[in-house]
Amino acid sequence: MAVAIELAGVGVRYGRQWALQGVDLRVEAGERVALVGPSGAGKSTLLGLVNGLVRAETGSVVVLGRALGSTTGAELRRLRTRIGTVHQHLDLVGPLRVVHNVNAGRLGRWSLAGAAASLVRPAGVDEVRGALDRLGVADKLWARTDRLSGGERQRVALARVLVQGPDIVLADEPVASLDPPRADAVVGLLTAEVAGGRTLVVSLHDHELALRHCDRVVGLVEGRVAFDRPAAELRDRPGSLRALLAT
Amino acid sequence: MSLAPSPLRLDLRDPPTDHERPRRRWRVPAFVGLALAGAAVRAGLNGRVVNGGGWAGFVEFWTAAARPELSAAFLRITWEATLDTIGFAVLGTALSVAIGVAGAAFVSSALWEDDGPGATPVRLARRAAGVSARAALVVPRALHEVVWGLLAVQVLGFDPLVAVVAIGVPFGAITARVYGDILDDADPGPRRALRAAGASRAAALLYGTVPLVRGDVTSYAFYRLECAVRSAAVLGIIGAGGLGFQLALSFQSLAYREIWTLLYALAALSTLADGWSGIVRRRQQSGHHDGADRDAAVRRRGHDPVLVGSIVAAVVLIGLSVRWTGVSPSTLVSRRARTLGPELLADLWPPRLDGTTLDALWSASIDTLAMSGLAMALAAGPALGAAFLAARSPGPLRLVVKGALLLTRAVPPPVWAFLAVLVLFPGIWPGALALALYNLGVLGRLGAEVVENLDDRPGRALRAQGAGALQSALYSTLPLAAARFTGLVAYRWEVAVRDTVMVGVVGAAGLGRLLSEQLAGRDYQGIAATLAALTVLSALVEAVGAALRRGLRRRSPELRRAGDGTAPPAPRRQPYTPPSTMKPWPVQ
Repeated sequence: MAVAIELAGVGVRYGRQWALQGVDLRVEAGERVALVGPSGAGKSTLLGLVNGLVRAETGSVVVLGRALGSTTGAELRRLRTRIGTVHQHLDLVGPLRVVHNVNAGRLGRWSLAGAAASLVRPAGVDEVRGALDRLGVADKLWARTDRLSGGERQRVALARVLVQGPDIVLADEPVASLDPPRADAVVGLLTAEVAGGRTLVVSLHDHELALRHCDRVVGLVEGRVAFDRPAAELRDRPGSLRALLAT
Repeated sequence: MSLAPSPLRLDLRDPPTDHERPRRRWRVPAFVGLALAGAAVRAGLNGRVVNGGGWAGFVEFWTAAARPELSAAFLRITWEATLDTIGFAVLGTALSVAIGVAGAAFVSSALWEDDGPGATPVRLARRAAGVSARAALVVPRALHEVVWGLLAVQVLGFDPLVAVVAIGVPFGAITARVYGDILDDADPGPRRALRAAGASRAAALLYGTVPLVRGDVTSYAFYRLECAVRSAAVLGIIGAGGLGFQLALSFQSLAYREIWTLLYALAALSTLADGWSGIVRRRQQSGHHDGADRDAAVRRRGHDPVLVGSIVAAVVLIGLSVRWTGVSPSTLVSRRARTLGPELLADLWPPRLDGTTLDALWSASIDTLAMSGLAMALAAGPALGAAFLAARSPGPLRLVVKGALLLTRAVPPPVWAFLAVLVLFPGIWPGALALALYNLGVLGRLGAEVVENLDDRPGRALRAQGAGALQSALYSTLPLAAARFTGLVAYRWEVAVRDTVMVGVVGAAGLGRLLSEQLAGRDYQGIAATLAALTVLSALVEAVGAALRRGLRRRSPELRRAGDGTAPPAPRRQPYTPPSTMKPWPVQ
């Protein structure tokens, strides 16, 4: 099986504080990996390493066969078009309509002129509508994004990744602001619709969601990998994750 | 053809429902486009616009930039003129803040809210007082400082008090309105609680509201000082003394090298004032809009050495300015003022409103609107580009852009107008060009603050998935800044309509030129009619601008909390700052 992401001996430092230290992680293509752990454990930093937002101080990061340490800006941009990210704060552009926010997923493949033209006359509207339809918000295609509810925005952010069509999907606490039933629905969409067959790395606070929707659970504590187990092993033992994280 | 649309025609309704593809909103853009086309036609589009004859002078002027006059004698003149200008600006600001504080008490509606038993006549009287106070502020606000200066010179002669009054009266009216709004926007809870406990209105205000608003009030006063420095320079041109007066003298003798010395002094002074006001506003605003930091900021505020030092320095400056300029309130009641003041009023009344005058007023009003509209059309695009560069471009380029913006706004519009008249025939175009250059500097700076204060996370998110820097600007920064920037342009247009007077008095078209002709001919009843036209036009434009900004606010929820930029946009903290040591990869 092909390897999508491979971290070896990775350390990241903010000032004098190590955010990650000696992290080894290998994610196969098509795997769905949940990152769990307390706040400040280094989950966001790990995700940032994969799309090149964070630079590793030690060790190596290889994503889709490319070593990130030696990429040029243009190479990194090309690589990033193959990595879709759902950010913690969604980071949608409020004053733009939903169609533009979803289309923004394709910016990496569009020329500047094409991007500008699409703001006037949206390109690929059918594809955008299809993506929104799969996520259950097709009726919001022409709405202004800052008028949507929290759950609707979440789906728009997912649609953006869907339209981008990446090989790897990263999600950083995608449901932190939703109530449990909605969170379950959104993570379900993320793992089934958006990631479906693609590699997924998602950080989650909610252990149950991690076990229910992912293949594998990686626990981070104070910048180190505390455990790395298949979800199936842990699924039938309530509280097992909590116990693992505490040790 | 009228350029002023009726507020009712502005098509800024809510967008249609989510299900249907929205129809493109074309009415407002089309109207603006048509109006601008009309303005351009009125200004003239044929070859009679460009004046080849003045080209040599134009070139000579710019080559003198590298060789300013630096003789000891002239440097001394420049230094003293600079002190004069500082004095006028400081005293004018002090007067305007005094007027503002007093006026705000009448203008504020929250302050006079019905919160207890009171006889109906008392309530009605309160309401009437508020309404008439607002109405009374319209006229001083509508007339530009230069107009007040021209009128004050008639009564007071060439006295330093002219500049102080000319700045203090219109600025005071604006300050009163802004202070009134600040009072109305403040949390009424503490004040109501005190009133409910039996405190008098004044006591409740002092304990419940003043502590909440004093930061905003101080920071706005410093913003006014920044504006007053530029105004003081312009007022010199009409004879009030200071840098502007020296500029006018040097222009008359076409001493370009002297002009550059004075312009550099003005730019330096402007930078100092901008810098000072910027520091005070940043200090005051730090954490202001960020709930978590607010308490810390409030606690810090009382002891902030920079803020306290600035206020002390301002008070000392007022004392020094009184000494240096020799300004004395007794001039107001001097024999000259007591004789000429009532005479001027008697001469002004009644305004002459016969057919010929009305025709001239109508034509000059259209010219004024055309000039201000063209100025904004010329300035808006470059200002937007410059704002992006000044806020987001890498180091050296940013400094160059910021320097250029500083220079364009430090040079007073009448000076730009003089330069424009060298290469263009007198009329609407040189005035529009002069105002455009000046507003490019102002809008560029305000726009840069807007861009700097934007949430940059959406842009980073787009770059994280492979979008280029320009693409991400197009899809995040531009839409996020668009509404606020449009609001700024609308606001500056309102200001530009008043500013046309400045370039009018040095020969460009419009009501300003009409006014200067009437002043030269001592046609006081005509002057009164022109002043009335200026007031009406200004009120009209303000109403249109307000409608436009209301529409923008309705459509753009992000403006409701953050303000629409018509008050000075305060430098504001980012809502979220990434760890400063996070090293992003180079993104192209």
